[in-house]
Amino acid sequence: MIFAVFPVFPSAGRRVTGWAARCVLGVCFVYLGLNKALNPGDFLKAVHEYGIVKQSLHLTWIAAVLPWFEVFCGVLLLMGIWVRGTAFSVLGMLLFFSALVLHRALRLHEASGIPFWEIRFDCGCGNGPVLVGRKLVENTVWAAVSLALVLSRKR
Amino acid sequence: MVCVMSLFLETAKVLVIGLAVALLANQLSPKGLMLGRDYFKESTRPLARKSPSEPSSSHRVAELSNEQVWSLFQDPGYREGRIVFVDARKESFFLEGHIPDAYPLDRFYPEKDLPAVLVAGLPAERVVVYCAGGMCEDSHYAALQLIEAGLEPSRVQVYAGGITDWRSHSWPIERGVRGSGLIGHFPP
Repeated sequence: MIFAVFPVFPSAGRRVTGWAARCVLGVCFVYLGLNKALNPGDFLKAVHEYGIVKQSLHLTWIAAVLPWFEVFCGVLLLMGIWVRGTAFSVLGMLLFFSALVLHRALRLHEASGIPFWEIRFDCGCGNGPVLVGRKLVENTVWAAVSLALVLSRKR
Repeated sequence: MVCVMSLFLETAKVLVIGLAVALLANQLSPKGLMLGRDYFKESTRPLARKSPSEPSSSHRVAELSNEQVWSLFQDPGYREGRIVFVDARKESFFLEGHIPDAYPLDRFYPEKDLPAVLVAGLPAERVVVYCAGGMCEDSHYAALQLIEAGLEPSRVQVYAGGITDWRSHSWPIERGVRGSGLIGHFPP
């Protein structure tokens, strides 16, 4: 559907763009998901730092399941299975995680006075401590790619 | 409308099958978390405090300064096993460098190391637990695991500065497994 807005792209170009988009997003989710899944203790601590889940057992379940779910979504995207549904799930996760990261960054910014774009912490995103501003820009790009896949024509 | 319905149906399939696969993967993974375990469990036993005025917390164990830790390290009791150091970081960090003769205890996978730490810690007069230092709380939670496993709370303390502080003083570091003998003053 979104590609219909840009009719200048030939259909072969659309197919290649769609294939490339899901492959890049898929590789990204597999890589970041595996980083977390293979170091679940680090991910558990990062989630705990957000302070939004009060029940420790719920934290354990989130840290145990979420990374592998990301890997699963990444594999589905790479294999081209249920692309729209997977991209919709990925979009939901990206929006939710970005809101959490933004909320925590704003709290840190208020508490410490560090300029927002210089705030750096381990957001539990799978690649250690990162600059929050950069992470949010990255997530916005991934969210746009996911949205494009959700709106793409079902083949 | 049909398009939206099919999108939601597909998303539901991804969520249901994905969560089932994720649970299975966690169970099969050697690094998987125990779903029934509370990794931020607070102490059920009263903890020692440095002073009566110190605020009470059910997960923070009494802390030692770097001078106190260095003094314990040089104490003959350390060589005799009356003082025991426990490293609460991940195994990979432990192998990169730890306080000489410290026992590893990854608090997320205690089954592996806890028996050896208890054998050394139960008869010891002092057990000092450390992690990376700074914001790291693994040492406190590992100390709580030891206390819950039977160590006397008054004998378990945490080195607040952790390995970061230890390295900043250029104090000796042992590389590899415990007792490897690869001891030196390695830069951070």
